[in-house]
Amino acid sequence: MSAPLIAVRGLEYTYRPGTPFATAALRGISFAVYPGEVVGIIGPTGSGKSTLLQHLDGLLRPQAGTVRVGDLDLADRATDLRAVRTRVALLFQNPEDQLFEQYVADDVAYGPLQLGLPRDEVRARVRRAMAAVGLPAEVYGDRLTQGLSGGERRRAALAGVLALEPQVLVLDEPTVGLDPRGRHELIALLQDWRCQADRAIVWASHAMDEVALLADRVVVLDEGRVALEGTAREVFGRDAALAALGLEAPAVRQVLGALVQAGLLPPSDALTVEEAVPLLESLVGQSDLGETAVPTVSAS
Amino acid sequence: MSEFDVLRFLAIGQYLPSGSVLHRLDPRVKLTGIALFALALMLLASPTRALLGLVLALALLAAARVPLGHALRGLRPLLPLFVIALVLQVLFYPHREAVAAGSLAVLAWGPLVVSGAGLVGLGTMLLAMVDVVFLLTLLTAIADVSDITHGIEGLLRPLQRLGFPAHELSLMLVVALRFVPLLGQELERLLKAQAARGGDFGRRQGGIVQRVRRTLPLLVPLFLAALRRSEELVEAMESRGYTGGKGRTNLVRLQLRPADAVALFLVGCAGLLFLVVDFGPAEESVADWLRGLLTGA
Repeated sequence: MSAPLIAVRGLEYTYRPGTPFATAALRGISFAVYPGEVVGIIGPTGSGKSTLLQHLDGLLRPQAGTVRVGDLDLADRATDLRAVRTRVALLFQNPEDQLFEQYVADDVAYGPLQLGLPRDEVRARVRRAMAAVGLPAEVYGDRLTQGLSGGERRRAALAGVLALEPQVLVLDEPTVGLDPRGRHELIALLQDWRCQADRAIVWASHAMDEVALLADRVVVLDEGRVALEGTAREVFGRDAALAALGLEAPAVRQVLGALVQAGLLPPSDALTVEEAVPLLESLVGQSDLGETAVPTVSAS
Repeated sequence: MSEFDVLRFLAIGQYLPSGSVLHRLDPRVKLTGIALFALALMLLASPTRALLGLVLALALLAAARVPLGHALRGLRPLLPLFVIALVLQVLFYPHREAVAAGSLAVLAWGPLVVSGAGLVGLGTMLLAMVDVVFLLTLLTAIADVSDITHGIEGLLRPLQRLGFPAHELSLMLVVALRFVPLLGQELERLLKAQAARGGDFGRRQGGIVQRVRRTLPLLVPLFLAALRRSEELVEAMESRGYTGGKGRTNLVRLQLRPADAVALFLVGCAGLLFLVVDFGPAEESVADWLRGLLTGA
């Protein structure tokens, strides 16, 4: 395995330390992000996901433990954050709220301009980034930012971050508030993006189905600590552990789980609809099912 | 320590529900008591009154069970002001005249003269500022947003009959007070989001136009967010039957209780004490004590 793009060890962080309002958000987190992978970060609200993400690009500095981006140590005050942010780019929740320029291309150009790049390079990056999100610069560059639809504005905000051409893209709930088609489009473009070069994605989400679909590895947080870690298959196979943490399993696992409980299927680690289909087809073939009581899967 | 934690030093503005006897007073009494106290300090400043003010403020903070550390932390934003005041006093106070008139020359270093009177004047001013900050901290610690607005509305209600828009004003106040922390959080989010894109808001160089341009990524979205929230708020209020202040009654009816009467009486006593403490033997003894401190130092 090659060197990690980001390595976190023993990370601790408390908000408002020393005041009556102190809250310990992270209590010793360790994990790493390797080139080419998608790491999903899941956990109940308040488990520290957002706090953790903000440490990955230096918005927050560790109070204890280390965060290394390549060879840059984020615990060191002297580290140049600009250099960090050319490698790790963070997209916040509801990123369309951060658009401030009148025209789309100007907003996408904000990041590269802040990096001090020459105009030609900025223009080229804007073009590449807008193409990557499906908003070609020729058509959308001169459109008013407030004139785009919600999904288009979100993609424009993503373009603004992709224009930094990072190695690691960190996303905080990127699909929240999008309609199903918007979600599919966004996931498709992220998958396209990460397949190029040795890029990695860190994705914090409540949408288990998406994480199950896209993530190679999953880290489960609970109250500031890593509760579970492993490949997506390993983690989502632990239905009981996830339920104990108050997390709902992806829909596919819930359905299969109910069928396993009714004794109709052997346990499996199928994670996606594609993998579940052959298993369900095998059921349909059986003629002796009759009236079998299947526990109901509660609607989520 | 996060450079983005904007609400950190707002010790003024933090409600601390400790259930003390002060918390349970009628909000109008809280408001008028503290307002009179602060006015008295600012209009009738003198060394003895400033000291008395400090003692009373600390006593009230203790009665309200506000931790001393919390109150002291609220003074931190004032420190630059204190330094400026010190410099101004040293430079612009007529020290030489004061020394000629009998005041102590605390510092005589070449052309620079600092008189005892000047220092006492400075000390009084600073102490009065500290007292006022403590009072504001006290007010917000014992009265939360709804308390304050009920209090203001209650005090202004008699004026409503004269056509004064008391209700609209207190509504504006509620909404403003409620929005400040919300917009503060929004600003923090924007600061982080734009910083994550490489935005640098710490730089002080560049002409005025450049520096204003640099804040646009924060101001534009913040304004948009504020407008968006206002629209949502208006819709929410109207869909719950809000049609303006005419004929509107409150769930919480303010009634003065015995504790309030006691509080008002004590405020009256404190007021008298305030007026009296500068006339007569009290002043002499305190002044002597201060003089003794300065000469002894």
